[in-house]
Amino acid sequence: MNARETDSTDIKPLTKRTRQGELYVRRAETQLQIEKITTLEKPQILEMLDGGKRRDEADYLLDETLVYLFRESRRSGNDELFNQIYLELNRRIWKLFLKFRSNFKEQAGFEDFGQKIEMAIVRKLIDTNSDKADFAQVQFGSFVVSEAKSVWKQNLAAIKRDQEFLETPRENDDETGGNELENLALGDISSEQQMIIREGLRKLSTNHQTVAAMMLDGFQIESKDENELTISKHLGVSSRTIRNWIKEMRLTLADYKGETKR
Amino acid sequence: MNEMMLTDVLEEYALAAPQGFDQAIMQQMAEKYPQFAADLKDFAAARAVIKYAPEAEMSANEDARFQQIGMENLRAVLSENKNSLESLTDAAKAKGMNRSKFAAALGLSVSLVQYLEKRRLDFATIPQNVIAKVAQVLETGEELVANYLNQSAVSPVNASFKATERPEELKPKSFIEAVREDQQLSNEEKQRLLEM
Repeated sequence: MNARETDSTDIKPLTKRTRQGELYVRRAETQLQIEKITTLEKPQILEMLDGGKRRDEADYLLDETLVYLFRESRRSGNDELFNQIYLELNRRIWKLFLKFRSNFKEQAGFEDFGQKIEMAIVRKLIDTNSDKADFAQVQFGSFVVSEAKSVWKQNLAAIKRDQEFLETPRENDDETGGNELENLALGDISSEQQMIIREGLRKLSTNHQTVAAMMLDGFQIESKDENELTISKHLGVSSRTIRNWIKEMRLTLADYKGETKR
Repeated sequence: MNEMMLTDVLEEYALAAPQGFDQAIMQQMAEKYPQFAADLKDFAAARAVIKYAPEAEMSANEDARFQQIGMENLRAVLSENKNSLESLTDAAKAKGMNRSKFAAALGLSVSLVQYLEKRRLDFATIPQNVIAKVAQVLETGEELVANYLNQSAVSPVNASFKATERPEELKPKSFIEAVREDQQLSNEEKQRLLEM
């Protein structure tokens, strides 16, 4: 693709519709970036494909933008751009897969999981005659999860089962809340606290990370409404266990906050 | 509705709840699509993990390994698209399925499989889900299956014949017509296919 050959009015619109008949729409941020990037020359785009860039850096190419460019380079037969974009997309896809690595005991099992899902993803991405990859230009992460769900029949959001860890009662085991993470589940945590927790997640075990991620996303720990999807219900552990984990997380994050203050 | 629509249902949820988990939408959708309720719930939880779990550091070895797998995947998919399907049932046979097993895997009757094989269905009327299911069962690309089905019919016109006159070319049937006329499918199976 010679980017200059296309102006913003030539940006391929999404054509897939919801079952209610509404067209899929890219996020404004994605649309703007695509409009900007299609005014660039190929070497400039290749320069922007630096895999070492962080998400918060200027000119970081959004996943959804990469999907658009990938399909356009396929459509126009621009092999160099197609291959370079694919390498970057592949890296990002595997980074997402890595978030589920703890579900696998063996590396081979994890690679098999990734290989199967990536095949399904690539089939859709390179099929430029259909709208099956439109969702990848709207919410790329969710697109990957959706493909994973259609290929992989087991639960993705799972915890590592360690009977002793799950069932041994802890000291000071009580049902009272009041700590930062439990407040978070109630949705009244400040944005600053959220940022600290998000940064601190790296310090947590994978089970704790899963719980914290679900809390940050708006899941409740437990509910009196038996129809409500809660963290304890989805992960198949008692709310008491979840609360114990939250206490452990609080301690880990307290240390982390201490570190960041120093 | 069959399993091929799972991604559509998951997309519907994600589009309705773009910011994150939404219990009201989840409940609504789980009631609307009870057969996908468990998948929807895990999808919602996995989206949270994708969004908030920290990005793992990738070692140089891992990076190289995943790049290798990625390139193999790309080559495999591109090569699928270069090759063309000669016959659906032959492709199924290569996967160890006779016509009955192939039909069962597709959720169709043997006669509907024959219609597909002989390309005697109007391509425009074949539901995308059927094409997707054929591709899934044959472990190939949907584009390839669509290309196969979108060619002219394999009809007696192209076959050798002993009669002195060529047989009349058969008009392609619509998918709906073929399902309605099918003698092997139950009413429930027909209903499911007609709703696609």
